[in-house]
Amino acid sequence: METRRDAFHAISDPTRRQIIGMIAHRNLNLNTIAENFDMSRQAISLHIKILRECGLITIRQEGRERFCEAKLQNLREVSSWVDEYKQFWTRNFESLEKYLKKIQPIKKDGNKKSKKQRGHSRH
Amino acid sequence: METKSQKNNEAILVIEKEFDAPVRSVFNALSDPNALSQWWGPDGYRMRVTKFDFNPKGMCLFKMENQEHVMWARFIYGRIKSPELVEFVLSFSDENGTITRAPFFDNWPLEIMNVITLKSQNGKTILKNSCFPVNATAEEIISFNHNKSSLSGGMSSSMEKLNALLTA
Repeated sequence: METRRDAFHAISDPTRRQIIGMIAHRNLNLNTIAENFDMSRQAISLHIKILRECGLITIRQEGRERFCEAKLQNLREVSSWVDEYKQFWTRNFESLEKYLKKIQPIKKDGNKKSKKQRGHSRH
Repeated sequence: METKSQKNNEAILVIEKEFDAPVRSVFNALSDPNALSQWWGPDGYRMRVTKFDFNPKGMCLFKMENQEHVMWARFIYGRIKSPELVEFVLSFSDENGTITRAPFFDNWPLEIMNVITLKSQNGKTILKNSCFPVNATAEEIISFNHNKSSLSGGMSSSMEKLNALLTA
């Protein structure tokens, strides 16, 4: 199967989501990002590479440092998917509720207490 | 051991609903293909399950159709614990169960993980679905990272912040 390099691929990993969250408000260099994680700098580099391939960040060379910058407009497709999927499940829940009502034998609440009181004491 | 909280931290979307039915009934609605086809799917579509293997890595393949459209989709089940947990990856597919792109949306993940937990409360059932896009190929490449992340806290919250930012 093909590996899609898109925003969904980018956010399918929790570490990558965190990286995006970190650089959403300010550009950070790679070392600063790596310091925030308990994993190797190499592993973080790989995530950043994927984020770049997915079009969610750009990398700018400044002197000896490389700065990561978020391209948030490309995340919009993710937030629109989230909205769509949420709606889908909201409708699913509504029809599940109807289904459960349909199969449920009609019963009234309030019997539980009297049942308990009838039970034998184990003291 | 893989904990529930780890899973939830990965969620991008968490939806919760209380049902006025016992946990058993709700679990059955998820695990019985005849029950499932009575409520699952978009409005106006009839669902027909053509393949059903309710086991970890098993597939549920189904057809959804209305008068104009026919769509196929599949679940690949993950962890199953009766009657409190059902995990499945949802994908659009062809009639053989091979993954395809979403028919109506350009931007739709190929595979979406759904972690459904059921909790009994006063005779009612609280269903929680934690969803996130997955990509098996990507997961394999970077699987060596997975157990090392220490910042398990703010994962979904960072995503929430981002969403807030985008919708502002």
